[in-house]
Amino acid sequence: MTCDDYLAMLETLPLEELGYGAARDHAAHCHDCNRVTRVVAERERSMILAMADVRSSMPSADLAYNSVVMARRRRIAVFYKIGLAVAAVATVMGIIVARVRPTVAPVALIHQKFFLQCLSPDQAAALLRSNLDDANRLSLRARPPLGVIDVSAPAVEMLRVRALIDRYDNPSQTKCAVQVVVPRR
Amino acid sequence: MTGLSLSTTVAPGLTEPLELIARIRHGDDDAFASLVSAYQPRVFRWAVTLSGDPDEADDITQEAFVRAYHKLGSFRGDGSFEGWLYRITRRIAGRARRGAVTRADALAQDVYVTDPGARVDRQRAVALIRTIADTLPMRQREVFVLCDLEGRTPSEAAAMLDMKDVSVRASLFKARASIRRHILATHPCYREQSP
Repeated sequence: MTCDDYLAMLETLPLEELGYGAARDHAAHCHDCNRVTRVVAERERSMILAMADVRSSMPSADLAYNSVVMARRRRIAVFYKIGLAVAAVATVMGIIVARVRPTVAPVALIHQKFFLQCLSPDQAAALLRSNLDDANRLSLRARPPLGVIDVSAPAVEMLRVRALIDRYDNPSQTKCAVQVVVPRR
Repeated sequence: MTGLSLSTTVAPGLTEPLELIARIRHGDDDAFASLVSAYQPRVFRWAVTLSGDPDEADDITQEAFVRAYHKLGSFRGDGSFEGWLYRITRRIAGRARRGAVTRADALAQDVYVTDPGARVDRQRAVALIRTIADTLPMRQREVFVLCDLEGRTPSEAAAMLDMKDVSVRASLFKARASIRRHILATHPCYREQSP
């Protein structure tokens, strides 16, 4: 074995493997190779010892405690993030649904002017308000001096308005100027 | 190498990691403290090797144990716990390396230590880390530390690094060659002979 062969082995093999056979015989007789081997062995040994001296400055109990606390906080933070994300998605969905949902088409109103024969406009208004189920959908404008009442109502309601006016504003059946007593339903 | 290597097993008197993990999963924080106590030196050494900076290694070690605690439920136990922990540490160190500002002079500034002996030891260790970090690329550095400094076999290192056995051996050969060339090049007796 030549010095080059030995140095090539020294370059890559574990030092224990140089302690056998031809490599060991060569190192025993070659002063230079032996010295190189000892230098490498000493440096690598000191590397291992130095590596063992690398120690954390943090006590392990503190490290463990901090780790548990931080991990638990992060777990809670994850739940918070999920909750916030769900709330954000719900808000966005709500906004989208509110914008996309078709609005209820307004009910077409019918306007009609009634020329009263018997009732005063105020009496007629009171009559209609007390006899219609949904008085809110009714728009009344009494014009007392003229004996006229303007009514705006949906078609269905307007049919009932006409029926009521026909029934109670009919001089042949009731006495004009007599206060109408409307039966409560 | 020299027949000397750092301990890579759980310290005597400590329960096996799987048993500790089972206890931790049942909410036993003392078991986690035992686990940290057993693995902290190793995780710190890995962090130092990967980051090249003892101060940053403290942060990496802390983060590694936070994640380990957080993800302990995902450890199935079909591989070694040490390998699992190593991969967590490596991932954190990699992220820290990518995000960190280059700290070229960080190693030169030693942390103030009141004990002179400890200070010398630390300086020596820091110089060693710097030597390894400067001499070897990351993959070779990992293999060299795991095999030659911590005494693992290439197969064990391959399992920890998720590498093929043959790749670990190749990296180890290259790492040894670089380190030994560096040793000889910087040794006073051989410096004049180096090219």
